[in-house]
Amino acid sequence: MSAVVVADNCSKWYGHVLGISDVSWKLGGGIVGLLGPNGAGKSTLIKLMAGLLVPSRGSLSVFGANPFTDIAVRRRIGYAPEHEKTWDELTALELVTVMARLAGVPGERAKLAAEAALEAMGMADARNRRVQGFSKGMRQRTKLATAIAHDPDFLLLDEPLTGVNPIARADIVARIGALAAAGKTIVVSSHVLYEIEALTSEIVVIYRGQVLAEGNVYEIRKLIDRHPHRIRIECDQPRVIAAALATADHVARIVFERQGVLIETRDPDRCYDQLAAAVLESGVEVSALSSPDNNLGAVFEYLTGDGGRR
Amino acid sequence: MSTTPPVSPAGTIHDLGYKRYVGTRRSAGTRWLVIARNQISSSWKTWWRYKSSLALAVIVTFIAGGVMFILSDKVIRDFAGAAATTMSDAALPKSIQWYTRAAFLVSLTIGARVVAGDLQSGAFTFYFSRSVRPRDYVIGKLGGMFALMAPINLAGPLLLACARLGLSQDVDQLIGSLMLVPKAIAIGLLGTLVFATVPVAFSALIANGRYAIALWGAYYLVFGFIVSMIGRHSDSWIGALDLATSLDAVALQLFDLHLFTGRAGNLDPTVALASILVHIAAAIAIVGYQVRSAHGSGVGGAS
Repeated sequence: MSAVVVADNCSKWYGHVLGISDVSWKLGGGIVGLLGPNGAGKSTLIKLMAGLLVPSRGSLSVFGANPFTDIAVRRRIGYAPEHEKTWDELTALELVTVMARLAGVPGERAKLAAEAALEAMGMADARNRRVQGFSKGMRQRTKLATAIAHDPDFLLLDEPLTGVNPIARADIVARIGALAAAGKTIVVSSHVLYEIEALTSEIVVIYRGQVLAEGNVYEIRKLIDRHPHRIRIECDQPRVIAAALATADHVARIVFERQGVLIETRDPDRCYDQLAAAVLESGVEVSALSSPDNNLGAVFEYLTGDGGRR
Repeated sequence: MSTTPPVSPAGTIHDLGYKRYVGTRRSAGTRWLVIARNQISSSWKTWWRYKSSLALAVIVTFIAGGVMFILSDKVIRDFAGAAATTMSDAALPKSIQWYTRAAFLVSLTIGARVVAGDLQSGAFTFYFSRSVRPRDYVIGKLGGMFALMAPINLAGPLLLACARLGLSQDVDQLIGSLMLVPKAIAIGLLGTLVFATVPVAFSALIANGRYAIALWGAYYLVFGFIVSMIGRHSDSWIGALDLATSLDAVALQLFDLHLFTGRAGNLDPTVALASILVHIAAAIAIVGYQVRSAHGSGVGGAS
């Protein structure tokens, strides 16, 4: 399959501010999660792919053409920006219809396409309401509808799940999945790992404008496992739990905290098994179990702690 | 028969009804029409942005038309003589000032924030992530403003010119008044072009709607008044920099009116016309340059 996006030593500066630096990357198809903290360069890369920015150095092509100069290629791209602002005085249907018309869908067909897009995003009932009265989740759905109304082949969704409640998030994730099933290539950006995990296992991690890691999300997670994996147990008898795990060879460190104990392990799977057995045997009441490593921040912490080396 | 419900295999993606668009697409050259249409429909949404000024233009048309009608009455004509004809002829050119005021209000509520509003709201990302070129945007926005200004600046004078023809006493007067129509179109077009372009240029210069409105208002009212006064007292061309005075001067010249001349009385209409055309050309150039620059430097900004 030919690449949808090819970035070749692509860099973008805003004056002296770095957007992305020397990114070389190919996107084949399917759903790809673009991960990175705020300011990492995710939106810059998305805007370069959307044709909203021109690279300061290097090149970036979409479907083999420069999206900044080639408007025929932009017709094949659907972009949902990160920002909230739209034409709030318009109804959802009017907004999506205008967007479809801007992408070349003619007159009455644009309205039909907009209705179909809003329906696909679960917004059929609210289509004649003005956008200014919409909740965050409804705005996100409307933005997604504007991105798909002209039936693009390649979707760029910049933080589509930000500020959305869990129920709406699950629904939007399912609808993005349906778009992928319809044959779209989709890039979704987020700074929250589990949001991306719900959508895809293929990710690209951007940090300080560079591609820090890319590939299957489980491969990225292995990076975490090279370092001790932290498990925080909040319970009434932390010393009992600590005693049960202290002799295990995979346990690197045990730290007592005010409400429990923090275990650092090199083998999380075995640690969880032993932990469950210890809890059952001792009858300790566990009020919370969490892993401080199970987020993107921890991935970054480890990767950047290694000097940005993969 | 088994009643066990089917179990979805892991990883199933449900079809939620998304249907591919099957149909033709319009050529890129028609995008400006979509932008212009959106500009008009957005402006029409609220009463204060456009409808109030349009109402003012309608009232001006009725009043000026009413004055023409009353002065065409035989009793009044017999009583006032030539003065009635002069005043009736003056109704159209003098109404231009009022259409200009209505257009200025629209330029404040819409024109001076056309581009600035889009830059502020992030609408540029919506436009330029679609198959829209900077020139489509410029033509669309200016075209939209032209369509909004034309019913005020162009339709009003044209209706009055037609009314004047309709109130002619005889065929000779009708034929003698025929030139009013192209003259009304000419001054209407000039006014429409001024208010469809110059305020938009101010909105393109400053990416903040409020500041753009303030700057345009200050240029038109304060700067205009100052240069008009200087021009009047020094008897120089500098008064032509005041757009209102220049439009008035051209209207007076076109309709050959030598009474009630006001600030435009001693301004050379040729210089006034040149000033108007330079303003329009400079405004279009500024909008084009600024939009192209904003597009080239990254309309979405950094993040």
